[in-house]
Amino acid sequence: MSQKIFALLLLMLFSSASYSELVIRVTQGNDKPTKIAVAPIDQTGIQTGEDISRIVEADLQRSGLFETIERRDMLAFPGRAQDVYYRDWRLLGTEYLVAGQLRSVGGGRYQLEFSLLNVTAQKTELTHKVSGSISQMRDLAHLVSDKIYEEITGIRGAFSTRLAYVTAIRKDNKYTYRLNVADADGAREKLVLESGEPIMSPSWSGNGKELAYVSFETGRPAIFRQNLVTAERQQLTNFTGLNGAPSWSPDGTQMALVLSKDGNPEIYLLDLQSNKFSRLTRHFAIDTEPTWMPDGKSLLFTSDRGGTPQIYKLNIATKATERLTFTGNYNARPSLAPDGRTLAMVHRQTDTFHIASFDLKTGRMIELTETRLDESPTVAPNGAMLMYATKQGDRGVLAAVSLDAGVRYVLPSSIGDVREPAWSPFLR
Amino acid sequence: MKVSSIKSGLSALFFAALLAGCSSNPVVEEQPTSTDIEDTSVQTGQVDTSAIEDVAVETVTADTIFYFDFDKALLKPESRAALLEHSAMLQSNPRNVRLEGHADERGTREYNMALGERRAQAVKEFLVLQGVSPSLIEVISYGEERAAAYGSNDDAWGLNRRVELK
Amino acid sequence: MGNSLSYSVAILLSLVLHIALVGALFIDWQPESKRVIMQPQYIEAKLVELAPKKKAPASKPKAPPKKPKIDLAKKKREEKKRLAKIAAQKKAAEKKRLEQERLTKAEAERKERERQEELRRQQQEAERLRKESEFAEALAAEQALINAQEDEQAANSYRQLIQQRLSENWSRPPSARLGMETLIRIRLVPTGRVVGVTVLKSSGDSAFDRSVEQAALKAEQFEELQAMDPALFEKKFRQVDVAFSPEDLRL
Repeated sequence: MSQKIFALLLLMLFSSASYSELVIRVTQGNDKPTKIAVAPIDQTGIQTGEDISRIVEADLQRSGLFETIERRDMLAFPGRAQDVYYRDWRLLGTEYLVAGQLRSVGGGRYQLEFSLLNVTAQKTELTHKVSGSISQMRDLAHLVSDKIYEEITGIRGAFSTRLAYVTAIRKDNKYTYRLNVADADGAREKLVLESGEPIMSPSWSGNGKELAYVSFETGRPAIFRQNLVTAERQQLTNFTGLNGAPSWSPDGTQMALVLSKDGNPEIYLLDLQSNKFSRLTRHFAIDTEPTWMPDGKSLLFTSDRGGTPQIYKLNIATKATERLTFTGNYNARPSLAPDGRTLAMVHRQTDTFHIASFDLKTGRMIELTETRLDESPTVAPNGAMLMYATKQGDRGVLAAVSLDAGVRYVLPSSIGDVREPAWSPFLR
Repeated sequence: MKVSSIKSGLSALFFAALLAGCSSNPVVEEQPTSTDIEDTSVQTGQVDTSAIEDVAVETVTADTIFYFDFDKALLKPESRAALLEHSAMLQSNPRNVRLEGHADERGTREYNMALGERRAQAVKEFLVLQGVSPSLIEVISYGEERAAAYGSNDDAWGLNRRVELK
Repeated sequence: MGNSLSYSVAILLSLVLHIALVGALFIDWQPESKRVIMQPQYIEAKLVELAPKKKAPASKPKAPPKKPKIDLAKKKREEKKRLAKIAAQKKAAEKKRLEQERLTKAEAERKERERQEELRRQQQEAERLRKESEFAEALAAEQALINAQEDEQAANSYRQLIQQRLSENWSRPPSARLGMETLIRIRLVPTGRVVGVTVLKSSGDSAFDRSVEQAALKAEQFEELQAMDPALFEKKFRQVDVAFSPEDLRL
């Protein structure tokens, strides 16, 4: 009898884990947003013009992963970890608490020291200091959000990133086009370019300092690059026919783009140092919308060489192409997630255009949106979210959806039709 | 009996050791680090519209707008009829012609640029086939950027899938 | 992260230790258990041979004393009578003796039979007692098994409760994927309160591990455990091991 017991024990030893008793298995969860309280920052009398904790609340709420506790329900506003009575927060059902204190450190600079506390486990998870000038309070707030998001999810926060987008304002049948850059939450919109002629396809450089785009200001579409800080511009192409879809290489030395000067839209590479063009595709079909793979060796692009628009992969060295999408009758505008494996694109199965995510490894296509007439998907640099353009009524708006389709929100829209969002890379 | 108790003791020891080894890592207290913010303000650029010319539009009796089916660049019979007239006029009175191709809002923007161009090319090819000199004809696409009709319905879309002869 | 050299030394040492202990467990420590046969209690019966009664010494016909020859015929007749009488007596004695012997033998045999029967009876009794005790043992074992099964059933229903409560409180991070698994040990007290959570086996993703720890901490207290039999609690619920492995995710 005891022989059997020991044999059983040995069996358990050699199984994947050693259990002391029968193990309970939990295979399902309840993905409710994590309750987090962001206590108002103790500003020690400093006037900031921005409510830092409100910005952090909004960031965390927008990610879809958090539910913030109402300020009016808070029993106290602790500024430091040592001032926290966990019991007060447990009563509210709070899981995490953010507390912070702002201090002047002289020279017009301010330091924000904040802590993230795990109320459930009753311990401090992290304490961090960030500093900046009085005009950088929003940036400090976004840094706080990044740190908290990263600590809890293990994923780098993208709250300190930016969005480039085009706005078209119609007045008496005349359009004014604007290329704008704003914070990822839509705040601090800045004008990059204004024109009476269309502006299209903004694309960020890898260092986040420049934008490439298509402008019709010369009477024909042409590709420009512009430094965001100095506003210095440079026209890169001036060919007949299409000049479009610019895309910066990961190392910043080349621009993939589309020219139809040789008879039909083809993909070319422009070496930004030497100004030399090299042709990559040779097919009578439409080849457009190139986007780079992270290793810089391949491009993904849209082509209708198979009869309808589909996504193809192009090996830059060999110029060999390979079709990737086989589901749906329209697949275009590929946008790669930083994992190099998930692709966002415009996808049509029956008669509505949705944004779908496509797994390059498994070939699985998942529709992410329920809005119609979706276009221009752009993935956040942390892969957690994607932004795209859609219509609300007859107005063009930007919407965001998480790559597992769990979270959705619409960006508060400025005047006019907003379209063509481009998510910046990490900027810090 | 003694040996079996040794065995129990050993296995207990074994399990204790196993569990001790599997306990979670102690939290390391980090020194609070400091981050400084860079200045990343954005300046506005200026467009250069000096190259745009105003194109004079002659009044003609024939249609100057030709329509197409979704995702297609095939000329319709009524378009051909109108274009025959235009080709005759252009051969008798040559002038520079601008063909502006368009697409409806559905689908992606750059692809629609290509589609608009394809349609304008189709019109150009027809005219050239009729004998019009290709050097007179400029093809330009606006994709979905310059809609003629607003609204997300078949009627509006139909009006936007066009080539305008100017 | 840590000093990779000390890690490998620690791993090696641990590996050696584990192998040693496992090896030790494999060796059959236990000697062949002898079947101890329990001797039934019985009385040592010793065969007692009944010594036959000493025969009455046959009176030796003494030489008749010298007597005057009187009536020889009478004497002869008397002698004859006397001899006959003696013979008869002898015969009777002999008969008696034989009878006696027979009786004694019968007695002895009877006694022997009785003894054998007594022995048999005692053996049967012992057998019966042994069977009875064996039966009682088997019955006790079966009862223990039933108790254990009932215990296990009760334990399972509590386990199910714990599983459900944990599942309700488990919010997965965005990095969670199908196939990830974290194993934790939850320490409980009889009130059902969670007093400790330890990660026994990490999934490799710290956010995933933390979400599992949080789920256990958020569950806080399994009040229903207070209704449990204290012995069962001690045996199976002081520590509860739980494996979290999502099967309901999209990715």
